[in-house]
Amino acid sequence: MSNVIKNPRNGCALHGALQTVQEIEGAVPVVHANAGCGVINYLANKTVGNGASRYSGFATPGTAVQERHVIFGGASRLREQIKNTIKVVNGDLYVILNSCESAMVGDDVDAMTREIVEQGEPVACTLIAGFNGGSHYGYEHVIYDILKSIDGVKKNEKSTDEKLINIFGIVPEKDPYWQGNLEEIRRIFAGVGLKANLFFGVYGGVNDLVNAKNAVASVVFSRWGELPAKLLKERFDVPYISVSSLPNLASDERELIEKVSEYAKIDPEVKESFLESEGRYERNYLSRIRDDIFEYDLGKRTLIVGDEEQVIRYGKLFKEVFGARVVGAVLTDALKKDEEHETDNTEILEAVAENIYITSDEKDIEDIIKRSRAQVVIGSSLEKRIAEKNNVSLLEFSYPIYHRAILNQTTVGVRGAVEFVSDYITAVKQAEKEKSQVLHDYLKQLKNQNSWQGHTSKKGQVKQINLVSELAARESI
Amino acid sequence: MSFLDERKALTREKRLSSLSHFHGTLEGLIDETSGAEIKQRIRTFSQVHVDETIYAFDVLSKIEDAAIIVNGSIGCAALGIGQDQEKDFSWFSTNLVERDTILGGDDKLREAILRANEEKHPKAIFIIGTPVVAINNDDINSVILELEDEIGIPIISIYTDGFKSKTPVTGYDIVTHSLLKYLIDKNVDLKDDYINVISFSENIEDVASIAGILHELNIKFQVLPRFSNVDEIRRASKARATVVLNPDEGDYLARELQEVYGVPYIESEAPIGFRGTKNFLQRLGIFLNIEEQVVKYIDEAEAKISEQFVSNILEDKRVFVDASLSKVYGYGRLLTNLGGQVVGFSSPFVDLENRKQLKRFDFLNKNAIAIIGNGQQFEKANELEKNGIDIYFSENVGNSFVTDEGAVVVSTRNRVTYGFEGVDVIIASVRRALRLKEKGTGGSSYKDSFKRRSGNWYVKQEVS
Repeated sequence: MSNVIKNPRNGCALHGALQTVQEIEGAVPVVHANAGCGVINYLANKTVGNGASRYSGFATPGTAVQERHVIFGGASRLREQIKNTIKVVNGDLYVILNSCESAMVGDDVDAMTREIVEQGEPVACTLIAGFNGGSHYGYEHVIYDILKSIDGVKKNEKSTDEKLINIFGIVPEKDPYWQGNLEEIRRIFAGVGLKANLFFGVYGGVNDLVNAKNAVASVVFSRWGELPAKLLKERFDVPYISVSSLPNLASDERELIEKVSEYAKIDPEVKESFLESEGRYERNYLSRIRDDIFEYDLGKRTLIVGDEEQVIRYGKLFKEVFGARVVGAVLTDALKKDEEHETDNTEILEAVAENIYITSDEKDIEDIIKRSRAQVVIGSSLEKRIAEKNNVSLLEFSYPIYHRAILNQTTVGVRGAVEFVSDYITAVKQAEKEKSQVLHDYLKQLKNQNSWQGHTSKKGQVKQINLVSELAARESI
Repeated sequence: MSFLDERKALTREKRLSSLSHFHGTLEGLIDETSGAEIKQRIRTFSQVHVDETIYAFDVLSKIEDAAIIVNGSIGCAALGIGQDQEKDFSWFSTNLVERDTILGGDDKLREAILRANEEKHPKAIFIIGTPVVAINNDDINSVILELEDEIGIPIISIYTDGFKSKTPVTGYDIVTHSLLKYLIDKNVDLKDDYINVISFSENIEDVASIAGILHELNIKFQVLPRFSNVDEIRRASKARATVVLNPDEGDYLARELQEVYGVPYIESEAPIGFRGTKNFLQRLGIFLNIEEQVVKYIDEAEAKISEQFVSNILEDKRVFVDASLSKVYGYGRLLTNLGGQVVGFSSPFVDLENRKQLKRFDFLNKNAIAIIGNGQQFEKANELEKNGIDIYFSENVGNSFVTDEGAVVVSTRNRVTYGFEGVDVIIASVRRALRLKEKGTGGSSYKDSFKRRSGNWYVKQEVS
């Protein structure tokens, strides 16, 4: 049974489905819910600073159901909304999204969708309700539902493209770096002569959904892409590869490309040349920071709060680059009981972190951080207060991240790894500088005191200085 | 007449016959609203918009020592993420799932109340209702009755449901109703020497601007319910008087404080622009018997503004104002004084209380565009290109559609627009916006065939 949650961060299935459709160029979401359901997600994501897509926020068509629709049913309201959305809003695909109200009332969303599809209009729907799960669940199910029906909406003959790879598992918005990460995956695949079918962002669009069946394989980068990949396997014989996390180091990239090369034709020379170049890039930058690793003691006790995929990726990176001890991992997207997926990352997680927790409740997370005696927490802005209270440094890398604009920055691939590492070192150096300033001031105060009594009282003002200073935490590194 | 005898606040539609759709001219709108009741209309195409749950959560989240429980599915509680609050803000979700929609969520609500009390030690707990709970008809009151004595602080149900009103300010009314009924001190024998400044939606910049003026005039005040605490709300009934920053939102609370607790309501317009701020302060000065002091302060402010005021920066520019109806007057007048031609406005709703404001729109031609709609960007897009609008002055979030239609946005977000300080800031914002004119991205979201049609073809009259 699910419990009460303090400071829940991930929204509901409708939110996940909505933000997924919004990020597909040419797709128009139509929310069949009360007026505010579609807005809440927009207001939440707006704080994160990814910008807003064309059909997000107040531009999103929605039935804005009223009391009469709850009492008498809202199917006819939905029918007129779909019909008029097509008349008013430019789009290549209209996706009807269900909600808690509609599910409780029992509106036949499917029938309304079929009715309009029979008229030749490009419309798909998903029947999941908000209370069915979180936004990761919504992402996975809406993609699954669209792929299930798109063949009947946008006809095209299957013609396998030996270079095309479907990318699943990067959840728009809920991975704060989703756009940059998709672009980095595209760069890696392009490096070995493959094309990434991204669905979202600059290089994605409705055509990617139509072409998904023509891919030579699908790659699922977290458990949250398994369902659509399986569907393509069952219906169109597109094989899929599940990997526990996005690649970070050159060795991860090699492992990924080797797996993909079992299905896609890759020129061995091109592959070796690209991977060698990636390795060189990584070696060059990581060798430049060797002094920092030792001088700033970067292998600190680390705890990670975020999606399972992020926990695995950041954990591996911290262990391999800095020799850090990952004393705990808090999975905020995972289900306590997952009956839908075959993916089981238990062993990988246990190899990455000493303790694994599944929760997104702030009180639980606070207790875990306190008990862990971590020096560094990689988490979200919601951990800021806890970090300050417990004198722990915070690196904000998981959702939500407040007061930072994140557009095309990436944390994936060797470039993302270097960016992540440089952010960490910057934060540590800033904290050290501030700590050093506090100590200088302290020394000055001591020298200017006339009596030991004065020393004692002044010392009380700066007694908070410790390994990872309070000031460092305040800067929320 | 007080509405406090009602168990729940009435919706704006029921209390003031509020209208949430109109698309026509100012003259038509005045005509439409001139009767004893305003006829409702129904859109057969709409876009998502804020509802009363969002507004209620927003204002309650700014009461510093209260706890908030969002009683609904996990997604409704994403409202808290949107608050982007300071470090001490936290909120709880009862996290209702499918099973709870069948068996009821009372146990979870009980657990949430106990946790909120234990972990936050609040002075009051607010329970925000959501669609799932409303449809399920969960018995929230019995849980409150059971726990209120046990934990010893007020547990207050906010009867929002997200689908009974098309006018989201109903959320403020619902909060007002609950605060008046369950929190505000009923013992009003002694009055104190401060005034209540009612704020529901103003940003911190605007509230600070007005607070700064009151401080300079040595007027003691407390702001509520936004940026307040539980004790300040309790004391609202002991104030000397009440002023309201946005009458569309705070009028209900001020009137009830006057009606039920005898706290005089100093009615005024929103303190926007030079004249708006002047009128606001003059009324306050008259009531508090500090007219001379206020006049002196205004004269000094006027002298400062006059030095920088350039009356022609909007010359030859066609301007559209998108704001709460009680603020359209202040913004519109200021933009007209800057040389602009205000050719239309849109507001989220109009109700019986707004009729007198509509008649004061002397800066507008009687054929000026009048759009009433909460959000509904497509209705505004329909008019922008058609009417060659240059400047879109907006207090709402998410206006990028405007640039697609060839206009440029002057936003009031994240800056001060109230008080004398606001005049300078608005002028600076207008200047910046003019530099961006002609830099629109193009590529409208809306079909040309739609934009050629009237803005009313998809609207039905409500059948009563």
